[in-house]
Amino acid sequence: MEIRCLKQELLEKVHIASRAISTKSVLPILSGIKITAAKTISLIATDLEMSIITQVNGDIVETGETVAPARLLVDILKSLPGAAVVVKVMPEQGSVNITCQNAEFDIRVLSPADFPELPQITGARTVALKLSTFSHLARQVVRAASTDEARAVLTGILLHFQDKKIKMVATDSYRLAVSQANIDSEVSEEEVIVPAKAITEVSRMQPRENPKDSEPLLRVAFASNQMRFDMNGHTVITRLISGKYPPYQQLIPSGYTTVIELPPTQLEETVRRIATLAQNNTPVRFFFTPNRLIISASTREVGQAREEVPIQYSGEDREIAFNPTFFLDGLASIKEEIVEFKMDSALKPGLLKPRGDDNFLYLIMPVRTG
Amino acid sequence: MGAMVFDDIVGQDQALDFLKKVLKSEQISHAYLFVGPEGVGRRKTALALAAALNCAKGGCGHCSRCRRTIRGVYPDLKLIQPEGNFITIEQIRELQGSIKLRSYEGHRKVIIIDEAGSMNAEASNALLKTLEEPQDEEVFILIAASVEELLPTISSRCQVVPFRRVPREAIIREMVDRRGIDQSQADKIARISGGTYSRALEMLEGEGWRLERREEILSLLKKISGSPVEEAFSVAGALLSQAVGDQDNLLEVQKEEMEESLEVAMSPRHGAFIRNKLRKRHARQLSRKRSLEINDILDIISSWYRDLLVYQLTAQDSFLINRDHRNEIRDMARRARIERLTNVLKEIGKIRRMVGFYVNPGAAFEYLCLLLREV
Ligand SMILES: [Zn+2]
Repeated sequence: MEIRCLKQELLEKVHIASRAISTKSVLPILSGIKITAAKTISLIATDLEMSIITQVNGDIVETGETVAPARLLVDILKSLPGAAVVVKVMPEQGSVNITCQNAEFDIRVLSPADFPELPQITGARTVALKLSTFSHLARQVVRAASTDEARAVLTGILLHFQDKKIKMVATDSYRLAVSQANIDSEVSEEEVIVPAKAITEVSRMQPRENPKDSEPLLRVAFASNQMRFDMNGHTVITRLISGKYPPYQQLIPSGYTTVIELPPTQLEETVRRIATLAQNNTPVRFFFTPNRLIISASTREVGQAREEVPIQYSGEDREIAFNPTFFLDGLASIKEEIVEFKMDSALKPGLLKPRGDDNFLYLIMPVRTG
Repeated sequence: MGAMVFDDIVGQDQALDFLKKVLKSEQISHAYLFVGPEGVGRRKTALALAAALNCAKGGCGHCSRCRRTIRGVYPDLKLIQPEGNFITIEQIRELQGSIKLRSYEGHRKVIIIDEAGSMNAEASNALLKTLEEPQDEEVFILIAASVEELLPTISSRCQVVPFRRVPREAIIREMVDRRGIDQSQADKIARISGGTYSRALEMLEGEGWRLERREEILSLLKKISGSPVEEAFSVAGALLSQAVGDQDNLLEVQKEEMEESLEVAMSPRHGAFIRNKLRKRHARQLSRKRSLEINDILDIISSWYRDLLVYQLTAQDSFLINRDHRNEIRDMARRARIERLTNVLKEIGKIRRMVGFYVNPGAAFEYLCLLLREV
């Protein structure tokens, strides 16, 4: 194998592929990037959960393949001047030769035969949608997914396609985020649980062409055990999570007695100020009283903080407390002008959503306070 | 015909018939428990079953899936072995993290838990949770010496498959027909192997150094009776060096593995992770090797005193393990006292149980040799 490309292009693609490599593996082959030169030049990396395949712009002098240690590849490419790079496999030496202007490196390679085969997603159902739609939903929900491996299903994002709609759901049982959007193409119903890591990775994909052109489509293919996302010569394949997603709809209350409206930035700034006192996620209290929302926190060790926010409210006095980090996560997902903040009693979940928009909601469990 | 992967497994017809029937019926349980002595083929059968479960031809032994499974590199195969003396909760959590995913290749996920009896309480309870909520595509294979080694709540969720010591005739037949060993050598090896085919195979490895070692140990035993104390200590020293002497190869392999893995680490943190993981695994391999060698030496010693006892009781040499030394056995059996022989055998049993964990092997051999003087 021999390929020639620009250093910056190769380095960028090596960086992208490296994101599939896990630092929780002791198998040397999984710290490698497979370089194949056939019709195109591709880089492949995998941790057996998620695989990334990315195409490199360049010339193929001789077809072939090799597996190079990712870290070494990054270090070498970084050190090279911004010029054309030639990468050439030296089969007799069991090495790959990298040259750029007057610099030359020979590095030992790993065996391509040991590299895991990529799963074939055959007979798969497919759907196409705008990457921006996918990324928007992903950003809104992904923080709510659980990181507790003992609750496997909740470490994933529920991805649901139905009736020209895409929906993503995430919960760690302390909060629940649901986001949906319309898409242009008609799809058969699909419901899968996707590792949060893969959802994040797909949302980071960059359209290669000028973004002013009509937006290229993200193609999604489903098999029973894996799914695949393709866009512009960039592919993410991920295994799905087994099991049944909990019936989250049941958690969402149908009506609320207390609803206030205010700009999310104002609410966020206030909660953030109060939360500086609330180390270790001490709950932040929200006290609703006519025309005022009083946000406060107190800890025995540090002291107390309190701030009043004028609101339009004429109901009874009510109080509820939340973990400030979870509350701020939800607010951060709302970019609209006005957020609706709904609650009922100190023991029932509160809800944040953009005003006049039912495509996103963020439900958050209250914290009991003494 | 299918299920060719099982062809290499010797003398476990009952277990294999059962497993083949299961495969044919496609009534696959979520969990199997293979019980039986070390070295009779439980691990090999577990890998073969894993291959048969995922092979399109029911375990042809030749396709890519069969070959990768047998080599232990199939992505939907997880093999768990003790790290240190125990299988820990971290290992079970890691397993749970990986099996939460649907299979990589779209078929079954097979999880083999070797030495399942070494799960500590935390690990057992964590595994129990996973066994309680079986996913369709998961098959667990637990390997243990006996059912009692496991929590009843775990073993009751498993289909138990017993593995037996292999009959002497079956080992002889394999040695003669497949390996071209001559009849008298095959008979000698089959007797020594104690019904475990993997031991019999080990006897053939490395130009038969194990057979040579046995000769050395037997010659030490022949002269220990009635010898001075210093002599007993020197025999103990010789036994100890036999037990720990053969680690260089393993150490070399481990060093290479460590270097190769660290070379490709993604970051210093990844490097630290690899070093920690491999160190534990390597320490485990070493202590496992040492305890296998000690047990092997204890087997040789106990076979000798067992033979003396058997000869005293039966005056026949067909029952002897060390039949190739029958003349000396006849002589020594005449002089030995039955109570002393039974006592020695009892003490060897005790040492065997203790030596894996707390007892320094050097001290154990010295204690034993002082006893042997008096036989
Ligand atoms: Zn096969």
